Amino acid sequence: MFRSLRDFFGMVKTALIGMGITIRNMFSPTVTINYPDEQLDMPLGFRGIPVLLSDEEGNLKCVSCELCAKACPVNCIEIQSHRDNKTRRKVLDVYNLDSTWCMYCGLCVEACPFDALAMSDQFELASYDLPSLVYTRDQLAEIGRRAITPVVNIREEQNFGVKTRGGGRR
Amino acid sequence: MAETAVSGEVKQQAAQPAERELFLNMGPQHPSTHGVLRLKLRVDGERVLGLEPDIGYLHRCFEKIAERRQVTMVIPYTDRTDYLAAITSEWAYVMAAEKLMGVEVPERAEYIRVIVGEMQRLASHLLWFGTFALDLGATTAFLYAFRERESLFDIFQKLTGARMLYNYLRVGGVRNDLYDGFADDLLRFLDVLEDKLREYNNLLTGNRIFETRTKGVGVITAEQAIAYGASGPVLRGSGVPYDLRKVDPYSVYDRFEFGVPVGEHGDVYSRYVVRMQEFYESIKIIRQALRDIPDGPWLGDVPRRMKLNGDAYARVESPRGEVGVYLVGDGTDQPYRCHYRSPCFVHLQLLEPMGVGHLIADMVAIIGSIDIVMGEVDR
Amino acid sequence: MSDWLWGLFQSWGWSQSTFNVVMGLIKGVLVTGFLAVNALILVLMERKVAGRMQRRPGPMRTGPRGLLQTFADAIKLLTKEDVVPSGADVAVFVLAPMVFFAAATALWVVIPFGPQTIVQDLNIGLIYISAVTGLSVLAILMAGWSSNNKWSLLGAMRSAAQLVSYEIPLVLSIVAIGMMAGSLRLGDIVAAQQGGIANWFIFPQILGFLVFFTSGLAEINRAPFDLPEAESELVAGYNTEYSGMRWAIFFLAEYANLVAFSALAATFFFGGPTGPFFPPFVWFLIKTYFFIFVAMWIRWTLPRIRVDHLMNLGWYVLIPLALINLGWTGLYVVLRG
Repeated sequence: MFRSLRDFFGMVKTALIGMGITIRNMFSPTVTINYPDEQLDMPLGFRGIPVLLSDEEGNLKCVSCELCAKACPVNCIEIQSHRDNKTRRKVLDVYNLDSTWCMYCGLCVEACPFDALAMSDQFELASYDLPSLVYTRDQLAEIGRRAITPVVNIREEQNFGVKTRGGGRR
Repeated sequence: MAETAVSGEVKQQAAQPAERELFLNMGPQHPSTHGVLRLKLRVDGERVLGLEPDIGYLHRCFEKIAERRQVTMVIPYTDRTDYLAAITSEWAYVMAAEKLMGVEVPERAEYIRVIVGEMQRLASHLLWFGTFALDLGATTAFLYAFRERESLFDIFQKLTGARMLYNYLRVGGVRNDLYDGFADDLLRFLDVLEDKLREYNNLLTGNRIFETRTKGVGVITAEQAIAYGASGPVLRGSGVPYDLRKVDPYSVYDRFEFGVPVGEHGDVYSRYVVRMQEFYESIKIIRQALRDIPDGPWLGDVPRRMKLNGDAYARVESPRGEVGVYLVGDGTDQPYRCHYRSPCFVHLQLLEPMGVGHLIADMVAIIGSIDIVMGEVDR
Repeated sequence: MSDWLWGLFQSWGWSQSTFNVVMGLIKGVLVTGFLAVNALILVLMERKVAGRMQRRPGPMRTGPRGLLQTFADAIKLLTKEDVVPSGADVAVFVLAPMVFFAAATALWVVIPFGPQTIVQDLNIGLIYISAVTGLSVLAILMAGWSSNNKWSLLGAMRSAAQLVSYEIPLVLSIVAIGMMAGSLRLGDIVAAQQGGIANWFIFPQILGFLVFFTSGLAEINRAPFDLPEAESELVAGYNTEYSGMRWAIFFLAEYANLVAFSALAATFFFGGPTGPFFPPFVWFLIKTYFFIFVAMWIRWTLPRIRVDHLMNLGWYVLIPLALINLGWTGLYVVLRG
């Protein structure tokens, strides 16, 4: 308990060993990515905010089955739709996703049988304005249209996400 | 104006003012109580005379929420109880649900669960190591541990999509299969980790200052540990070779060869050594699992409409001890009751026998050695 | 240079005493300026060194590569609200940082910046050093007590015990230096080590250096002896209730102590401000900053020593070692002739 010389010199010796490690690390390159000057390269499938996907003609694939809203553990998705009389299909009017409630768990994407929903790599969602954190149908569709990875059959390809930007350090 | 309630212990203290006794609040806000834990300390100078933990500052009604969600929807919540060992918390819950519904998990899924569970153990122990060193003053070790954790997070991110709260296990298997290159990434990481473990041992384990701060501090005998219901490294540090993966093997743990590190003296140093050894054992398990993993489906046959009937208790060996989930079903697809047995909740009782008679500085080391996560204690 | 100034003043008809007062003022301003500049540099250096050892770059965003970080910190501290805790002893609370700073600055009276460049080369220089280092205890106790906070009090008590205990081995190792140089003046100590590395006092005094360095680190409250301000245990020890500029004064004084202690280590054992090629002041800076770096290196590597181990170390180990060193030094001096 530091009553003996042996303890003291033991402390000095082990201190020197430890100091050797820190000085060696001092002259090694840093492992820091200087965000936001350098961006990170998110892997495919990263769970950022869910987005609405469109088909080749630019129409939303969503058919308003509301399975995603039912699957959500925190009930953060609000859906309103109407049935179009001419085409007899449901049209999505309102799709509000409250990103302050969203857990980014991805259960909504797994529930969707039409591959109309995917997790994007958008995580920079901070805002000064609280109401702006409720994402509307158009905002989500807009982000979804920026997807740069192909929209595939999610269940088969195991691919639950899309990327909206490339580049960045890994 | 309503009379404010005077809490019990203040009344008690006022009633019998001990001569040199000081009542100190190692309050919910404190840099080293690992989350919002309040310790009501009675000290004489620096010596701790009495100790009472006060919890509930992180209560988020997990068990109540679970009663109102479908089976799969509860899984993200189980992540958030013990947020540092999310996989094992999910595992306990999912195993309980599988027992209730009689679902069989395919072999590949079991192997994946083992691999991911052991990776989680590595991540959790790395964080424990970093924060333990930080509490004792060696700040640099904390940063080194987190550098290794980042590599693990990268692998988890590619696999599940998230860095810390994975939502990966499902009733009957896992959410998705391993990606191509998973084994290479993981094996490369394991090599790096073994190298770094040597560095950590040089930095901290052999350090004389560290040894004198942790040896003989916070001693718990084996009888006490068993009597209080300790589990995990806290129990093993006192010499009891009890590991759920050996004693009550679940999943495919009975197919792997690994040791169970056991400490000798039941002090902080023994628990530290047990956890450092567990790094190596986990690495062994992961290597064997990667070598032997079979092909096949990663999700078993699960009924479309899940119906829970009866009750079941499933337990796993988390990095902190025995995590258990007691699930009661009433015929619907929502649990009637989901109780989460938290190891750290039980270990909080041990703080008093461990801490009394030591100095305040030792309290910090003792709390660190129990590896408390308040998310688990308060749920 | 002071002779030239004296000539100038004589030509203006000023008396000797006026000259002394003016010179004193100039020296005071220069030393305080030196301390301020050092503090500026050290705040950044500590964070950069810590960062590099932890494989990260340290502050990078304020100014090019983070060089203006200290200014940002200073501005932030100046604009903070001045909080005095309720129930605190206000006069003592306000005075404590000032006393601490005064103690730290007073030490700089005798530190040699060059072979003859000392503010006042007192002929009891070594005794003066031992006396002034004791003043910080007072300041810390004042801070801890007046904060009306149990954690501060604990920190102050620990610190008082620590500082008082480590005074003794510190002073004993300094005494050995005095014996080696045959004088208590720091100017003489520097002069005695002139003429090459072989004359440096480190060689006969390696044990003395070990004792001096360890007790010095304990005296300036730096890791691994930084229990009084142990972040993870006592929140911030005696500093807990101080914020804004008051805290900045404590901080500055600690850094002034650090520079002083490193300068003393350089002076006593490594020849002080002397060396080939460069002017003496440059050598002073080089040697002082080397020891500052070593102190930072130690801080970011080692865990903290517990308070009772600290006491044991001071009383059971360092004092005997210092006494052994004294005996050895006596023998050496006698044999040297």
